[in-house]
Amino acid sequence: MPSRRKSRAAKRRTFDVINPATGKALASYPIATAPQVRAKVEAARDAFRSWSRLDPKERAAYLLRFAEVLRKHKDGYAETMTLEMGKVIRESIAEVEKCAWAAEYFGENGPGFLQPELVATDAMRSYIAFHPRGVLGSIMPWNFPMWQIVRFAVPHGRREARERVAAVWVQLRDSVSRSGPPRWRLPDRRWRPNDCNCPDPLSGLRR
Amino acid sequence: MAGDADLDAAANGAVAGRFVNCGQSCIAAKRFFVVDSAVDEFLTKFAQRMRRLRVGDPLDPTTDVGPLVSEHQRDEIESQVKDAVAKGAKVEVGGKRSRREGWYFEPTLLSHVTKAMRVLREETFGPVAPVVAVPNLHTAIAEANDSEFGLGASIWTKDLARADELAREIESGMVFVNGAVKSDPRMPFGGVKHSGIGRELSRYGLLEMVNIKTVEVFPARGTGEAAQPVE
Repeated sequence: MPSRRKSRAAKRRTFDVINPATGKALASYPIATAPQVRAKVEAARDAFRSWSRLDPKERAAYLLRFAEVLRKHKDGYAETMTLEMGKVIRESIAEVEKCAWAAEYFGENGPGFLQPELVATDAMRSYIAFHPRGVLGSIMPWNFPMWQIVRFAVPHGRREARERVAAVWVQLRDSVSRSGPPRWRLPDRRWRPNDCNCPDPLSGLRR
Repeated sequence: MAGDADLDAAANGAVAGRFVNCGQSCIAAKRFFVVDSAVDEFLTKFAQRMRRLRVGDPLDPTTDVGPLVSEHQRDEIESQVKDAVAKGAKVEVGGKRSRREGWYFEPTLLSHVTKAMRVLREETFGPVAPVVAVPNLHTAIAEANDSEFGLGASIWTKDLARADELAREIESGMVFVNGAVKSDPRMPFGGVKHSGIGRELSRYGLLEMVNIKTVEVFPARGTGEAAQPVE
């Protein structure tokens, strides 16, 4: 019966991550509900208030620390990636290293990128400023589980991720916590759009 | 791939471009357009290198190619290959599932590929390389551009004096001459046409998500007050 099938899908609250080299499940993770996602977005907005007021150089310092944490734990992160989606271990290690490089690149160059540009107009003083916009959400694919997140997050900020590579994501969250930025967190739940027949949890929160 | 391409370099680049991450990359090399005069030698060199790829347990540091991420992805790539073969493509290497446990597909090289085949019309998100022979470089570029997508492209030629001119003709967001497409935090990453909007990485990627804010400050004017000098 269509309605029963629909409510079964809506009731599914966990998903399994499968090791593609063996076909066997590695672990099970909870799927966030719309209210849970909403709460995380609100928490992100709250964190944004203080994070965005930091001088870019202070934010950059956290990115450099994040790069150190990634490098320190790269073998563990790489192994998780390989188990979850089958990437060969050499490439998984290289991916973590590349994430550290990106964090370092934006840590070193980000403040310069954000310097205002002076422009002569009829005003007494006129310039182009590059100001933070707010919380950013994103839905990123599984194929470069850490890179897809980090390359977006280090220039910008917060994000969501596909469920297939949940453990990589949890570890990334831990590494972010270890690098110490104030309340700058990655959410600890997966959001699976179209899966729970929930209304768009971001409606009303969009700018 | 031009007639004057260094075919050893091109074959190495083809392997790197196609088989990294078991082909599961948006910037993987997915369509190979090779000038007639070079195609037989290129196929031989490409095939030789492909046969040396170690397919196996991805946790083993000597493995080159692991499984596809899911049964669905493996079935999809298999169906694309079967479609090509049914329509006349020749399997030079591989072409079938691996006997290993897990969702493996053998690294596969197809020749005599045509536009009627799904491997040229759809994205091949797996270890399958379709090679198309073309009469000249001009046609290779036209065929490469004949797509609703345009993310990354590689051009292989010894004629570096033409590199910039050739790069300009390619309809994609990224062009690499004598190299496989790769992402770099220092360079913008993204495509044109249906390959997406905007860029990631580099200063351009950072600016995509900021408020580019115009600020103009004028003096408050009282009656008779002169304007303040500009700092």
